[in-house]
Formats: sequence, C-alpha cells, structure tokens
Amino acid sequence: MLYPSIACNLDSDILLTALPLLESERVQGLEWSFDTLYQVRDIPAWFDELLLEYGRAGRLVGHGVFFSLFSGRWSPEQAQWLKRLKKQCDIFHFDHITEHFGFMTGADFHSGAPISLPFTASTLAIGHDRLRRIQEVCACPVGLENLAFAYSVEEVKRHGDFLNKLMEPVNGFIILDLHNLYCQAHNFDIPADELLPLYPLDRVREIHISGGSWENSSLLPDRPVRRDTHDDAVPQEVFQLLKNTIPLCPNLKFVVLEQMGTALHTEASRRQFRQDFDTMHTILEAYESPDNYSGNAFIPLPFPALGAPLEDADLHRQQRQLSEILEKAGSFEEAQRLLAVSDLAGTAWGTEHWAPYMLETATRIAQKWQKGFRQPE
Amino acid sequence: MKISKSLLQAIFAGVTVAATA
Repeated sequence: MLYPSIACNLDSDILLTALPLLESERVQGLEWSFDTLYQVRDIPAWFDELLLEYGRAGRLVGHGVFFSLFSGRWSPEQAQWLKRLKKQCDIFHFDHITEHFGFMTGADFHSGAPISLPFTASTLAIGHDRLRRIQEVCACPVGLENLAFAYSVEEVKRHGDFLNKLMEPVNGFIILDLHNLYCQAHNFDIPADELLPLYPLDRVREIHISGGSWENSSLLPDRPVRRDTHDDAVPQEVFQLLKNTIPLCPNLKFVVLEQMGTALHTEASRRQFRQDFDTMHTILEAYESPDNYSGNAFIPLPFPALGAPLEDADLHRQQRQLSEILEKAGSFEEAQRLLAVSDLAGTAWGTEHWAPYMLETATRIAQKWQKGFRQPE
Repeated sequence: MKISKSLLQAIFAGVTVAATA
C-alpha cells in the first residue's frame, strides 16, 4: 500500500492549500518537520489534533532539519535536539523519523544549509553513531534523505553507495528525493535513469517530489544550474521519474509532495499544488504492488549501550574552515583560492575536483542561509 | 484518510484568522 502524502507544517498557506485535499480524504499521510516549531510556544490545539489523528492511523512521519548528523564535533544542541525528539515521540506516534544527509554550514553547525562531506571510514562511523542515538530515543524506523547538492560528478555517483553503507548496519532506510536526483542529473549532465540504480532502492521507504528553480552561472554558460528551492510546480520529468522509480522500490510506503508555504500565496499556485497532488495520486493508484511481498519494516536492530559520542577533530576543523570560506568568499575565485591553502586541500574532500559552477552555487546558498535559517531558540 | 468535520472546521478557522490577520 502506497500513501500519497503532503509535507504539512504549521503554515497558513500550506494548510489553506491542503484543506480541500484533506476534506476529500485523499491525503493518506502527513510529513511534519517536528524540529521547526521549538520556538513557537503555543501550537494551536487543532494542529496538535491533526498530527494526533494521522499518528493514530500510522500515517504521520517526522522529518528533522537541524540535527546536522555529520558534524565532526558532538554539540550540546545535538543532545538537546534528541531530548526534544524524545518528548515529541512521547506525544505523537511517528511511523518513522528522518533527517538530512550532510552537515549544516552555520557557525554552530545548526544553522545554514546542509552540504556534503567526504565519504570516509571516519564519517561513516560518525553517521552510524548519530543514527543509533536517534533510533534510541524514537524507537521506530529511522532514515536519511539524499542530498540535492553535490560538488562533483564523482560524489554524485558515490552518494548512493555511501548511503547504503550508512543505513545497512543500523537497518535504516532512505528518503529518495526525486527532485534532488533531477537536480544532480541536470547539473552533471547524467540521465536520471542512470543515477537511479546507483542508489539502494530496496532501502527506499519514502519518496519526495517537489519543484525548484533555475539559476544562471557565468561558469556554466550552456545551461542554468538547477536548484532545489521547493517553490514551483513539480516538473513533468520528475513525475516521469516517479513512474519509473516506484516499481524498483519494494519497500516504498510514503510518497510526499513538498512545497514552500511562501510559494503558495496565490490561488493559481494553490490550484497548481492540488493538481500536482492529483497527478501524484493517480500515479500511485495505477501501481499494483505485489501481494505476497514481505518486506523490510526497518525496525532498528538491537545494539550495545552507546558510550561517549564519536568525534573527529580534523573533520570538525575542516568543516569550520569550509563553512567560513563559503560564507565569506566574495567570489568563486576567492573561494577556490582559500580552499587551495586550507586544511581541506589534498584530503578526501577532493576540493581540487569540485565543479566551479557548483562551488559558486555553494557560496550563494551558504551566504543566503547564513542569517536566515537558524536553530530555533 | 477521513478527518472529522469538526477538526476540518477548526483548521479552517485557525488558518483563516492567521491568514487575514
């Protein structure tokens, strides 16, 4: 059974857009970014009730934003995040909990934007440590979402394999964000159908679809860079990708349509969102899942008591340097020059092979989010 | 999934107040 779902947060534009869909009983699941409301002291009772209702039916999934899974140094904010998650899990019944791959670029690593990191034994060990801590507090399946952003074609091709190595030992799953895949296919000129088999599709329990935007770069004159901005309709290519992907994911359960509330101010944009939901719903209804498949429920495996959180001082120092360069460089050339003399040079980060137009994009993203996306207080 | 009419009305009232503000 596949559940057509929406990303639904405490946002009046999203809720006004979704109301006709909720009323028509077609929304089979809700994804809630549970760590984005810590600063809102009084969540309306009706929003609580909406979450409780979906939770009671086993149709509520939690999607974290601020944990910064791969930060090299364990932070008090991460410990606090886990405490808050535990409280949320005592109130709401989540069918699963997810977070984003990567680490946050902000000065305290709990703000900024999530970006990638080297795929090494050390980062793998940190990933396992953090995933087990999340599993320990939520006692339900735990997953990670593939990143939209990548620095190099080599990184794109290795992302799926690293995700598999990360999730297999903890019996975790992945959210396959098809618009993220679409971004990578476009930005690195690889057919999306060639990227799909590089991911552990038997570990996909949730799929995201969304829209995005184009950004010109003088460093990539023949085509614009595709950005995962969640602020427009779902491209037809992503719907086609959804059709192609569903039969390849035997453990798929939730398919979630995402869009920013800030992109749903007009009646036309709201109508388009509902049309996108209908298109997604039709695709899911048309798929006949095998009757006799007894799949992986991704129940966390038992593991020994956790000791002190793993840390990597070198990784922490490199992450701080990279964040500072991305947030302060006045140009792509300056960022490239600073990276060449940083602790990242000549290491597994592979900065020498980063695509110039993606480094330029990274500086734009980091600088945009530097002050505008902070850890809730 | 079915949602009770009273909850739908409460959501509508809540978001309408927030939207018109």
